[in-house]
Amino acid sequence: MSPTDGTDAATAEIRPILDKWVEALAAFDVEKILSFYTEDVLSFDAILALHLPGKEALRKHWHTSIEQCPGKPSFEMHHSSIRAQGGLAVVTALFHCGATLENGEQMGGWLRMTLSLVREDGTWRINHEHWSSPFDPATEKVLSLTPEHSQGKDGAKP
Amino acid sequence: MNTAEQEVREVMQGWLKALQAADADAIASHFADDSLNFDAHTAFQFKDLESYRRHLRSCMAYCPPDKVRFDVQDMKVIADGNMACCHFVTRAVANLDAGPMTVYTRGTMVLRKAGGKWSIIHGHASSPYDPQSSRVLHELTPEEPFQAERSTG
Repeated sequence: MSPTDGTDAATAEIRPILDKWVEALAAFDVEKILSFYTEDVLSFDAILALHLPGKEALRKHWHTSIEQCPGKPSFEMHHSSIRAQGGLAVVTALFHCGATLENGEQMGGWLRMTLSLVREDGTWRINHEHWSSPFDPATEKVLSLTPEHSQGKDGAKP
Repeated sequence: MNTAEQEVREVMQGWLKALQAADADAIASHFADDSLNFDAHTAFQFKDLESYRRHLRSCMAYCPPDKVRFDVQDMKVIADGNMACCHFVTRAVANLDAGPMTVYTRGTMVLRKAGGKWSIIHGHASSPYDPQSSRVLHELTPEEPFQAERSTG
């Protein structure tokens, strides 16, 4: 979806914050990334941990994840949708996350993402995030699905 | 706890009861027709309630109440006016021939109040995986949430 999803002033405020956050993700700039979160954030990341309570746990997890990344990272946000009311905002999006290896080979996959943001001292900060990829119950392995592997009719948005 | 939070917790209690009863239609009745659902397995996303209901029916066939017991822990709700977001961990205990197996799943739900009624407009359920092996990490628990600690410890 497009920036025109914004239905009020709050969504217009949040769009540029999201864009800067995605830039920080793609740069693997951990301190910059963390500046977008509340101290008591609860993170459900796609890999390696069931949950990450608090900014310090998220910082450690980022350093572990960066060590595991095989090349130059990329984070592209697609189909994002923002809904805000009062001091609460929710974002859903699909991300293409990848890495370019030294030999130029590209690898990556699609993730689903849900964010909630709260207004704290006049600034929107992420207090919860949920990233994931679905798995195949038969093999217990993660599935390499894309937005084309969706069911149902277009039009749903939170 | 404000009134909205109290109301949302009641809706989530109803959702959990429907899940515990493995009643797919009762689960679906807590969702809005235009809800967007990201479930833990099988499909990338469900863009309408009808496709999600079909998915729930096929899932619940594997989870009769005498075989799988669900409960929810660590639920946090933030509500403001007519919108709310909650997150929690779902525990499923399955009675298998080999003995009981416990699996934790993460859940995030977004709710909207319209016409005096709260409904879920977005659900996201998932399990984390190991990027090296692509394996789903079903063994992680809220008390031992990290794979690294388990493999080295």
